[in-house]
Amino acid sequence: MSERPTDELERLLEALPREGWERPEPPPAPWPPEQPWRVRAPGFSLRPLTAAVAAALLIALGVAGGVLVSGGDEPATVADGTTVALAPLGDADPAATGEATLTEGDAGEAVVSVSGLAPSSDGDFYELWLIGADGELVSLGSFKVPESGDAELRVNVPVDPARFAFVDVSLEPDDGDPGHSSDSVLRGPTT
Amino acid sequence: MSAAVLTAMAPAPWAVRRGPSSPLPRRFVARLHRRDRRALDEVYAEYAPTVFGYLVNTLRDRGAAEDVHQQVFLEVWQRAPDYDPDRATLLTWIMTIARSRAVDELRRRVPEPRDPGDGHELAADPDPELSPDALIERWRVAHLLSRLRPEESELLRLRFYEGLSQSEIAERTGVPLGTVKMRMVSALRRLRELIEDEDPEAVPA
Repeated sequence: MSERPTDELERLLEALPREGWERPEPPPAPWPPEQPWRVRAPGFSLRPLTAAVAAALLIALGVAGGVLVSGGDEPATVADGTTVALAPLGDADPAATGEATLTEGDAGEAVVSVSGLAPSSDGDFYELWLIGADGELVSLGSFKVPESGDAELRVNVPVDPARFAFVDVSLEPDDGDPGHSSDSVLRGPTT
Repeated sequence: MSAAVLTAMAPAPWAVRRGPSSPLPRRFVARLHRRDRRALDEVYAEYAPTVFGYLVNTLRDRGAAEDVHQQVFLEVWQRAPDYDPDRATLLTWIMTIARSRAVDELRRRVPEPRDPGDGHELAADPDPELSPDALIERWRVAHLLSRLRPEESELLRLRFYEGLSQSEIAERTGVPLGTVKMRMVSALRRLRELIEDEDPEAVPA
């Protein structure tokens, strides 16, 4: 080589190993890959603009699609149900946990208990979802979490949960967007 | 296909230099602060190859580099809400974390001295050119090479990695020698600008 590097930058370049010129392939990111959130099953848009208000009403009245049963005298059970353990994700407290028991077949129901979640504020609420391996999303209803961080709810499940890969709980801003916020706080595989 | 794979095909929009001292978009920083998954995937796609290359180069053990790499990006995830773009660029911030974890790993390898007088000490790397601090400067430059136009970085690779003279580059590529010289000056100038843009204190003389 007739020309020699004359300054520090050129010396740095000359000292670069092969990988420095080729951008080495790193290992996968230490966080799980994002689910394709954008697909939503038609016919189950349970959340209109007033979702937060509706959720609050559900909590207050214990009626309609989701019935909050926390604190009741009878333990919430689902006959012949499959129990799914929910583990924390994202910003959730690592100690947060949950459990969803789902009946098999169409038109069943689920009983879900969560604990250790951040209490809901005026501008957000939690939403329960079924997520398919292909990204299909079905919202099962929304709910608020009280100061205790614990909640239990019973919801109708208008689809066969066996078709879905995950039960998911997301934190949703009250922004009128019916899609998943991509901010999951609990999730568990159905199988 | 994950967002990380998608964004690996092209630099993230915020990573492309748009002018001197171009700051990170405020909206992107806000996404980072709330640990938005897609923002973190973009950060990973942009910086993970550089961090991994630096760790392999520094630790000289691919398995250890993979472990430390995971630690680095878990720390990025954990500390994302505290990232202050006014204090450091993302490249500087992430490479500082990588350097700290690499030093931790190297220190763990040093055997505990059994006797204060037996000569075992926290010895510096025998080759100062391969110290974590020396290599970090090298890999910052390697990272910025990825922001050059492909023909610019290829020209620099032929010159500085393959060790070809400008005449040999002209001969190999079929580009006239005068054009090679002009492009070489331009590529080095642009690289210096990128380094200065990242960290005005770190421009090599």
